[in-house]
Amino acid sequence: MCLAVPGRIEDFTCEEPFKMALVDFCGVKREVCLDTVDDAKVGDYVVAHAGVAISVMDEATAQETINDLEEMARYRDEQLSSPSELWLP
Amino acid sequence: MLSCPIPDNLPAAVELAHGGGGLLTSQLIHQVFDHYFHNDILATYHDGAILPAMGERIAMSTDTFVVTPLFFPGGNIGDLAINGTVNDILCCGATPRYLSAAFVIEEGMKIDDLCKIAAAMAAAAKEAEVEIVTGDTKVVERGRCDGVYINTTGIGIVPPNLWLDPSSLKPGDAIILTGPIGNHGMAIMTQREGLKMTSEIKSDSASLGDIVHALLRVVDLRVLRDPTRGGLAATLNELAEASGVNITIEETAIPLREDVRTACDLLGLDPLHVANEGIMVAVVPADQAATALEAVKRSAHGAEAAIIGTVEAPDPQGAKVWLRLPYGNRRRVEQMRGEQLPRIC
Amino acid sequence: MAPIDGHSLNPTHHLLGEASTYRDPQAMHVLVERLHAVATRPWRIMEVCGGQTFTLSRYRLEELLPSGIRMIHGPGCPVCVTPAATIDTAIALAQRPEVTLCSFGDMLRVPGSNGSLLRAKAAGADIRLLYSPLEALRLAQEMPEREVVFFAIGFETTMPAYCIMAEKAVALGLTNLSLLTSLFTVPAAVRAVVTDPACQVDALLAAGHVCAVMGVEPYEALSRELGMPIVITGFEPVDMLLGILRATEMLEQGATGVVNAYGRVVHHQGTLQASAAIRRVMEPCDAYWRGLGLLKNSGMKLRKEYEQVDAWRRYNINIDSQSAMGCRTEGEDACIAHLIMKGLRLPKDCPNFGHRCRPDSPVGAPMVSNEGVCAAYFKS
Repeated sequence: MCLAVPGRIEDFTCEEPFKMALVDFCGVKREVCLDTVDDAKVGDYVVAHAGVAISVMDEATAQETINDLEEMARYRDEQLSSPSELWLP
Repeated sequence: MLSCPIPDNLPAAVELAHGGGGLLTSQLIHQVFDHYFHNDILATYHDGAILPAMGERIAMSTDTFVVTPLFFPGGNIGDLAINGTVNDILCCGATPRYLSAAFVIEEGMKIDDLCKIAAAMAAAAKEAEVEIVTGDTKVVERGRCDGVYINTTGIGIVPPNLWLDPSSLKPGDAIILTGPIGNHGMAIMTQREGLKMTSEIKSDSASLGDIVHALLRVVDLRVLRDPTRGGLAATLNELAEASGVNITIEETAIPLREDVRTACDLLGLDPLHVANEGIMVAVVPADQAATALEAVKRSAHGAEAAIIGTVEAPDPQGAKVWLRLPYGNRRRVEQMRGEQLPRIC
Repeated sequence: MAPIDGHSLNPTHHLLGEASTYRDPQAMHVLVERLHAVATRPWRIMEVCGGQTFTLSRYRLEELLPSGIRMIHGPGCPVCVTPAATIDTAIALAQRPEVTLCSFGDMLRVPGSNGSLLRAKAAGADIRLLYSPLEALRLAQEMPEREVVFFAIGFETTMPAYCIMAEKAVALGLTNLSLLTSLFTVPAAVRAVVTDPACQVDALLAAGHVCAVMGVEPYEALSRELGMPIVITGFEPVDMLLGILRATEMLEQGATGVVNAYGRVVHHQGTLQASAAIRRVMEPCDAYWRGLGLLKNSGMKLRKEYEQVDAWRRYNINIDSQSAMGCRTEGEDACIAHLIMKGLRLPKDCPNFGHRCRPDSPVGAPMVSNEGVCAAYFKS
């Protein structure tokens, strides 16, 4: 079961019957239940599935993944010994 | 303009008797529809419209509009009913002139809402330079329809020597899209009960006469289509099929708002399948593509136009539509199967 | 983001909030090249989740992989594996005059043994499409005269939503709301598919959103048990390629264990409040999978304390094992979905393919969804 999309917590909207927050998904805002992630704060990114947050996202780990990708690109460039245009905008 | 002081002696809501053909019916027609649509032909009060002779070929199209909710960001069922039929006539290469409008109204519908819808129709008709010259009103019991259904039928004049033809696509032709996809469908979908979302997404509902006339002035159009229900995927598959050609479109070239893309992600929908009401697909010979794009971009509602793909020789197994992905590989674009329903997995 | 020679991956994209970061063709390119450099032998890698199969198909990723790497499409999605008999039960409930049945859009179109919920809706049943189970609670409160039943299908990802809703319904004393559960746990199915001696899967991509709830640990045990690498993998094309790369690296090194390639979403312990809610409200049970048959302890059901919101108990429904199987797994016209899901057979090897089993009347799970192997073969 898979369809889950990341969004940023904008504001808490109510406590009952569920703890809800308005979450911004790249310009589309929808209420998401945070009963599963009590410690989530405004500004945190959550992954929401079927209207309920199933994870608070971790930016440091995301950065590590990107660093890994850039490391792979650098390694490849060294192997090719000619600079790649890969990262040129 | 959209506010409607309820006319004298009309109740706040439509009653069954308003469709009964008696006094209440004529009150409703005079005080709501005539009030907004008035023109010389309508004012003759014939059973039908008597129209002057027009050109040697006439294009005619009809469409029935059923939408929930009736009012949505960017429009309502009224302007949709005008723009939809006007655009269908425009796609025939014709200049739209006259429309009929028929209403099936649910008992209990607020007169105020009906006025707003009629006002939107009048404004859209004015914008499209068409007149609503005949019509009909029926009222059905509560629960028998969803607020109001509107049918519009239109006619327009086809210029001499213009033959737009869905089967005329040739390898090398360019596919031009006049604006971003998915805005109308997602504006509606995000308002649905149970899916409620807030966003800046608005329906693109608009009549596209400006674009069509600009194109007809400067290029030899193969065909025009408005990708409404079934989205861009349906339109391109129909064209590929009709002409026996392949079409390849570039994903990165297709205009698409970021929030529409995200709304599609949230609901598990493909933006290529989402309905549009204010864009067109124009197919032109390759050497006229730049001129055509330039003309569209200068027109009302055409600022975000783009050349999104090309026509190619067919596959041995038959005509297909391909989407070139950002990576460079490609996948088949298929028509939607069944109703478009939000997914969760 | 660390720049390389003054340029960064894609500085305009946010690391968490924007999917486009993980759809970047340049990042995909790096991963594909690396994969070609790393892979020296043929490997068979199973993606467990239907959403991952969807990404493979949406971005045509399989054609980018080294020729030796073959993807095996796993048990799929909960919509696909819900048995026809369970769908028939949901339809029968929806046809009761006092019942309003709610479920997700994709569940409504899946055929049971005689039509789908959509068809039942067209015939007059009160069936509502909802985006979240929590909205069913609101419906039940708004319509005290109706009995609201949520057709609760799903894997671990969706269970927290049902559990939170069930707890609240009980706390509020709502007597007109219940869940018709059809819930499956992923590790059980993976174990069933992969432990078949004939099965030749070398590594698994675990479903990232299931792991987001349950954490990494269940997969560490599974990896030890199966003796194969498991990579927890996300759903965007960059995530998928990264998962396939990590799995290939482990295979090439002869390593086993679990690598988390979806760390921005999946934390080692999962989301504790979500998994705790599941444990409070639900307990394991045996379950029938469309195409796979009965798997021990592969499902979840509401605990006895929640029987007032359990539609199976409330309406006293039992499905006998024969009809639950939905299709025969033995005999000449047996559904071979289990063999197809293990990569042992192709759809065209199945006696039912194209005749008794078609997208509009599927027998096995791989014919149900657009991305199912059999449905894909049928269309091509």
